[in-house]
Amino acid sequence: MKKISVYRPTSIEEAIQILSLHGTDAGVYAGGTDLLIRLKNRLKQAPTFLVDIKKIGNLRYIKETPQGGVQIGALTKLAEIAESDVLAKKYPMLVQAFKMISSPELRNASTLGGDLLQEVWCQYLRGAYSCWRNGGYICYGAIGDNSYYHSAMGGRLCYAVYPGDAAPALITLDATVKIAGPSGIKEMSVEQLVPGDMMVDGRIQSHVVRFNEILTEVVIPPPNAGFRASFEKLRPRGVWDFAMASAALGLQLRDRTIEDARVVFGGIAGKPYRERAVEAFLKEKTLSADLANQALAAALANAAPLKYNATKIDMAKGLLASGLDKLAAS
Amino acid sequence: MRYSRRDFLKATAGSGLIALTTGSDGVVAAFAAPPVPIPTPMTKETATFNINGRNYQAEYEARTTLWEVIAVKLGLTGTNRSCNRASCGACSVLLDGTPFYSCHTLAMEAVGKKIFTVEGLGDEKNLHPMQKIGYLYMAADCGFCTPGWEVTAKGLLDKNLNPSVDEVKSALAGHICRCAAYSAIIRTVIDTGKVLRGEAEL
Amino acid sequence: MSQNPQKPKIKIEPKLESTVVIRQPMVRNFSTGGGHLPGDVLTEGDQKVVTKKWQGYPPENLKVVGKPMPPMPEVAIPRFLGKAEYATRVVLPNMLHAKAVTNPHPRATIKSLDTSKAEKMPGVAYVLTYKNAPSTYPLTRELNFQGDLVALVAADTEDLAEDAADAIEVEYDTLPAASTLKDAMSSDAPDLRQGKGNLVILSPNNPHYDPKATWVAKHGDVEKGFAEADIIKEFTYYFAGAVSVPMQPCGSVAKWDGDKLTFWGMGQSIYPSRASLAKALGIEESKIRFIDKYNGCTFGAANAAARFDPYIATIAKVTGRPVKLMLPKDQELAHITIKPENLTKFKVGAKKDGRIVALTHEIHISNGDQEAVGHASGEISKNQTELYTSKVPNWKSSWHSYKSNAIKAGICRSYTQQEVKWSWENMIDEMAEAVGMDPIQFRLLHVPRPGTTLTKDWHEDLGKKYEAENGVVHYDSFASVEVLEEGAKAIGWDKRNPVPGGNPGRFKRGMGVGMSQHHPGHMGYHDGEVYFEKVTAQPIGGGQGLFTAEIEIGADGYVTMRNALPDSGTNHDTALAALVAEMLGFTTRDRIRVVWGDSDLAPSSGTWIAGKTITLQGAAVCSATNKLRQDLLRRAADALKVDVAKLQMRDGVISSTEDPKKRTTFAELAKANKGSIRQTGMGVNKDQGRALTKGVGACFVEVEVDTWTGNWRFLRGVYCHDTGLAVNPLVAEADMHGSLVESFQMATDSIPWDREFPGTRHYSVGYLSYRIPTIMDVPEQTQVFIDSLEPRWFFGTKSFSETSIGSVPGAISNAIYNACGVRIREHPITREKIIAGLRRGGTGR
Repeated sequence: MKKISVYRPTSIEEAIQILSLHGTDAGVYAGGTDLLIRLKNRLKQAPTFLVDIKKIGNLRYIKETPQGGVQIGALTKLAEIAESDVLAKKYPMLVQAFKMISSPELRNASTLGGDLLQEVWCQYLRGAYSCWRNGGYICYGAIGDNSYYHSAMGGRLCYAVYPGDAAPALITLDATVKIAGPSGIKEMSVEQLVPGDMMVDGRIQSHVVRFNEILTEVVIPPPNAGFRASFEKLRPRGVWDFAMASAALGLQLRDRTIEDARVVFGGIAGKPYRERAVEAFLKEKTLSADLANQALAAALANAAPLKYNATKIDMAKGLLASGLDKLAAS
Repeated sequence: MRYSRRDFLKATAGSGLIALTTGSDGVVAAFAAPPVPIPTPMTKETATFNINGRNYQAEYEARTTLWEVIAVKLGLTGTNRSCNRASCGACSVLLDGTPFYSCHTLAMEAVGKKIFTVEGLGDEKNLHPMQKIGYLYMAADCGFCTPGWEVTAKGLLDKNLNPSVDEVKSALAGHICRCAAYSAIIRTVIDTGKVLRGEAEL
Repeated sequence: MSQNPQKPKIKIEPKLESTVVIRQPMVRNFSTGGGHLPGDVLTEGDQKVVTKKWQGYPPENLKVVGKPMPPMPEVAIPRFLGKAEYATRVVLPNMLHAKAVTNPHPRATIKSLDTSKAEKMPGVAYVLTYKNAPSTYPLTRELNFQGDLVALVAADTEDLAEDAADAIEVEYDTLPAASTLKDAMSSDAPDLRQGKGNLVILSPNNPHYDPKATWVAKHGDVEKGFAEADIIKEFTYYFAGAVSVPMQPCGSVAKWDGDKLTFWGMGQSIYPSRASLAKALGIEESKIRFIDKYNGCTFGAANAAARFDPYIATIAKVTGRPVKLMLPKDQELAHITIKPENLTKFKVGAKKDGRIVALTHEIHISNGDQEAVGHASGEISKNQTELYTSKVPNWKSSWHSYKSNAIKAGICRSYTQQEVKWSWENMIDEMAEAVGMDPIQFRLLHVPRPGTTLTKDWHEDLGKKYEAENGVVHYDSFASVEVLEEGAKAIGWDKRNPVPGGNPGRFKRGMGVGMSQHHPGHMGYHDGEVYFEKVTAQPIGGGQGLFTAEIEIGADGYVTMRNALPDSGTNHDTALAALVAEMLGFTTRDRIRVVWGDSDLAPSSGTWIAGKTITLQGAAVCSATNKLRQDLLRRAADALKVDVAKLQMRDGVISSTEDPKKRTTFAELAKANKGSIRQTGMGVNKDQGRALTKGVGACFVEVEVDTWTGNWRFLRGVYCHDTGLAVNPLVAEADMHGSLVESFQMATDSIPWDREFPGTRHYSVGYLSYRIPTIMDVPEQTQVFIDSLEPRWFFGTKSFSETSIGSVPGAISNAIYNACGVRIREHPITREKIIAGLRRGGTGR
């Protein structure tokens, strides 16, 4: 792989300082599972100064808050989240979603922060093509073979889909994140964290974390009674593969009445796609077996499929129906 | 440097930032102090690797993978490498009892950890029950994926001597067997558990 | 968890997982005397000639052959220890690691190439390009497919070699390319064959010559046949190409000691690989010790990657250091041979009762960067044509093979099977539907069965060169009826809803069937047979088809079998050892040892492919063992002063049938002969005559389709094989598991061509780019072994390693159609196509 130099700071300030020094030549290194692919494929955009944040104090934890929510340190392994009894009890959908990410060995290495901030998996980028994300000024996916890894909901510069599962699941739970930078700690929702296809520090990213910032924590508000959620992921195999489409669904129920809803699709757009039209439609409806059919009519009206990926929309709708059906039956 | 919440709010008043929470002990916010001197980053070093209970010294670059240290530099060639992209499991090893893809782990990460490879499972004179049973059940055709799943299965059995079929599948999901010996592998792991629990014998 | 102390412990024993064995009745009255010489003619009860081969006991009396048992321990146990010697495990002091630079364009020439920077980089020992490649094995500036070799760098570590590879400066002149089948077929296609046209055409003297095709066969008068048909249908199918990816990275290790080369290779032969390497290096074969004991799969495909071997050896010679190559998957996959992209058109005319009376079959194939006829004239490509047209009075089959700027088509786990049979098995089901027949009944109406004959003009029209009796070819052992009927029983075909998509609800299950005729191993002749002399009198071509085995009894009474063949997970030595044990009168396999995979340790054999191992190395092994048996009996007769005919042989003891106290042992006889008694045997085939015997298989598939999302699951597979006498059902069951799952992957994951940028493949992220089924994806499987004894082979064995694999992709397609009414004619089978089909009007919401 590309030659790298590794810093091993023991404090956040030191890490931020090093990142500030090197600019976009440096990058945060935690589990490295995404980064190492890019280094092995020798992508121009892969940083060669790695700032290993694993030696920094306490960034790896799952803690209950006094109010009953949780705080999860960004260096917490995906496996720890998937196997957490605390999380399984409070947010079963989250645990179910995390169990479907990548593979067991990868979940042992990958961190929550790394997963949220992951690079896209478009075959052109990963194959070191000089596209928007790799030193060039073109999106090959927009004009190329875009059946799997490219957006069916439109794009601006980069059309690659946001491939992660953690973000859609967390958005459904109204999670927020903390980001440490030179001027302090920012807080924002996970939805705000990954708006997709953003120009930040002169490069296209799916997220808004800057070159000298570090994601430190994810906070999930306490689960309310009557909250039910589901997560469905459609992919060729039962492990490893990214979602061709995914649907995270959260319903705040009062008996069978939906007080509030969260509907987030993954794998179909440059960001986790929050379908507010369906959320609005579901409000005040009664959860029933045929609600699914009706909800679909409101879904993804803004779809803008590319040449090969119109079926992503059908799949996403099918997954939404499946989620509603599951929750209606439970 | 630590700053109190009050100091920070004073410093950032009017900045438009969302209010601070410290989140957790030790995660600190502001950055008004003079910078600390930045050390030289590591590009190459020598360290001790504890593999199957024995210590080995190896020199490696920052970019050297654990697989390369184990199977090339140290000559413990039992651990194979197939895809080199964390997509097959041929290279799995245990680090402190937990499976990782050694091709996708930088060597430096394994320093100070207990590394377990297939060589630690058994040898010609002392086969581990898993190896004997795998042999009897034909759980390996070409054998290229075998050390990988054996090591992961050992990690599973060390934590749970009575896994269900689904638990075995979930634990071994990150291993490709091109020869599709999966059903024999599952039976091997389950029956190894039985032998180790004293409910079955070879 | 407490254990009931009274509860007995379970005994761990090898056992079959789910295999049904159907023994066909013994219709032939084989002699049980044993010890037949190869020249003996055995006759049936009614004096009909059965075979000239040693037949042994009736299957029921066999002690070792036919019994399920684990593989040879010296072969299999190292796999579990991490000690199996794949070339990738060879690590030597002072070793260099090689990395390749490959061509990114579908077609280009090298305009300029500057390696000066690379050569000076840290740790770099050598850079090989067209400028300094050996004259006996040059590299050219013409690059005709994406991934073609441009340079090889050797350095102290892989990383340093990669750094240097990156520093090589290459400029390319890109050229117009025909990298897809569509491009290659087009009249505007760039000229890839110096004006001859990209369509490969035979010489006008060839009976299958056609100016507009590569190879044509016809029988009867198709126009007349269509005129008589009640129903006529036309179908078009597309196969996107596929490849068997071996688990082990392709590569090799070379080490010189003076002028002697030790080479650890990866492939399917020892001596032929050694001969090719010697020729490429311009040295004598005896200067090379070629070692290849274990491979992590090869599938035939990996053989092609041996093109790198002479370069690795050259770099090792020039630098004086061992050199190792382990190709990364993205580079490897440009070089291993693939199942080609092809387009197939059918026109089929049938009578109301379902009989096909006219059929035209037209197939266009992208053959890759080679001047070969390939599939077009291959004998075994026509197996499926034969399967369905042996009773069709009028047919025409035309094959079109185009040179293209793509990966070479070639052997790849069942040459010509899946890629050709995809279209046939879909078509047969569609035609069955058109005439209103159940797919199994429709097949039974058409396929040959024992007793069927191919008339002289029929099989000559198809260009088959069978061993014929008075020009007529008989189907002897061919379990076509059983593979269909027993398979149907095992899967529960009677519970299938014949209406496509007819089951209610969101999740719809369906069943489908596919069938495949292939060859049951390349049967041939062994030394001592008249035809052996005839065949070996002609050039065979680099030892390709000549196999040798050595069997030796040592002073310890153990039997050592020496086969110069690599094991790629094939475990063929296990089956061969069973034959040896049986023939020498052992009741277990315990006294048999194998030495294999090393030119220093075993005599010359050819390349194993496609079931040649059991039947050709098997011929050599059985011949040698038979000679050894005769030798031992003669020595015992001498020593005991008893007539040979009055001796019996059991578990290493030879004794008089009349007075068992008159006895000697293998060990004693060996000791009396300076410690060893040894015999050699040979086997050979030409791809004609007996080599073209037929085997048949079928696959029954049950799937479940989620009509809301297009998701589908492969639930159950019942895989049926015309096995002959399965030598070791445990190994065979494991082998067939792999066969079905691999064919499943072929159906769903094609070569990842880029659909918009022709000539581009995407392999950058390992097996995410090309998905191999995981433990979460594989179906439950049941094997059905039809023990249909092959009358012309030892013990009635056939090889069936490739017989059935072609049936699977079509079976899956047929099952999906049955489940949800979506017919996928364009391979690969994907969830996108299922949901698109459902939205277009298959069943579903």
